[in-house]
Amino acid sequence: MDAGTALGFALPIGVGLSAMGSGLGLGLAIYGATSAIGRQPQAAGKIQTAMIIGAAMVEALTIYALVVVFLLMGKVQ
Amino acid sequence: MLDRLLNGTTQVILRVSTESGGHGEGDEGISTHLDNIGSILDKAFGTHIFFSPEHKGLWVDPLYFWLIGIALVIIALAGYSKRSKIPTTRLQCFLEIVVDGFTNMTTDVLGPRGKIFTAYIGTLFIFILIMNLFGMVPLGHSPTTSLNVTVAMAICTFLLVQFHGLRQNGFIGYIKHLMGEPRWLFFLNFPLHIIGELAKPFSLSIRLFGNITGEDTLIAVMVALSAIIFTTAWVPIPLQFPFYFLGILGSLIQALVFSMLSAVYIALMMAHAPEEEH
Repeated sequence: MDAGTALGFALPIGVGLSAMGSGLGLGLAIYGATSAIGRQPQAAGKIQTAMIIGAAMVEALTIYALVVVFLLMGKVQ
Repeated sequence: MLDRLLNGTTQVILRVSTESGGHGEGDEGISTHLDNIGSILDKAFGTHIFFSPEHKGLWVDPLYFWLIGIALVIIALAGYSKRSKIPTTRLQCFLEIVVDGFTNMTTDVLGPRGKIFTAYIGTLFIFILIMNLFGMVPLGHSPTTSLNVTVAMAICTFLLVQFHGLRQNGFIGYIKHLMGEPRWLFFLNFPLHIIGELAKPFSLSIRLFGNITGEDTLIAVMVALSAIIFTTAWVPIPLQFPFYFLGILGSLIQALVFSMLSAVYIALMMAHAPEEEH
């Protein structure tokens, strides 16, 4: 198996694994945010803003994996 | 005309590439870019200014960057009047509501002394939002799909943060901030904080680039898929339609995150400043 074929295996598995990790992280973040909104509904605006920013930071980690796929896409044989 | 358009989307040999270049010969595949004004001009004249088979092309991103920038400046100047204190035209009222919103957003993060940063944070938000959304307009292309644009904005934020950190804290205070809290651990904290400071523009630029390129590629692939279905089965389904909603949401969120993170980084630097009132 040469490097091109190995990349063909590894790239989708890499993106899938990081999607799994970020799914767990985002679920935790949204769980915390929705519980906080449930406890104090009048602070919903600020909690929502904080949740969106936190979610984007967690999402960025999966995007790093996607960027690696873009970089290596030409070398897949 | 219609089948030339469909052939254009299914047969153009283009790959999504970053500025690190270095792709070998490619094979025929579905295109991952939609046509925009630059690529149509290139196909009409046979030049390679905007698009070329090897990489995404030299001038398409600066073209749209400058177009959008000049358009926004013209809109802002049209709503500016220094003659009266009460806004006169409807455009001016709208712009004042927008600026008020940005002032609230910035002083939420930075405190009342952060009002001077409203211009930068607001500009980042509007500019990045319009650039992201432009990729979904027909015959448009979003410049943030290029690493050049995102890294440029991230470097602007990085320089602003460091400059304000140096100015507020003084040089000694800046080094103390980088040395961390238990002073005797400075040999561990110092490299860690420096790497953290360098990782901030890196993550800002890659996050924006990756998200917007992902949305762009998704929509282009869905359009190519719809074109293939149309040419084989003669059923016109706009498969890319649901992904436009995801695109609008993602563009909004990425613009918000870039500008709010810049504000948060400035706030973190200013947290060590000598306060007059506490």
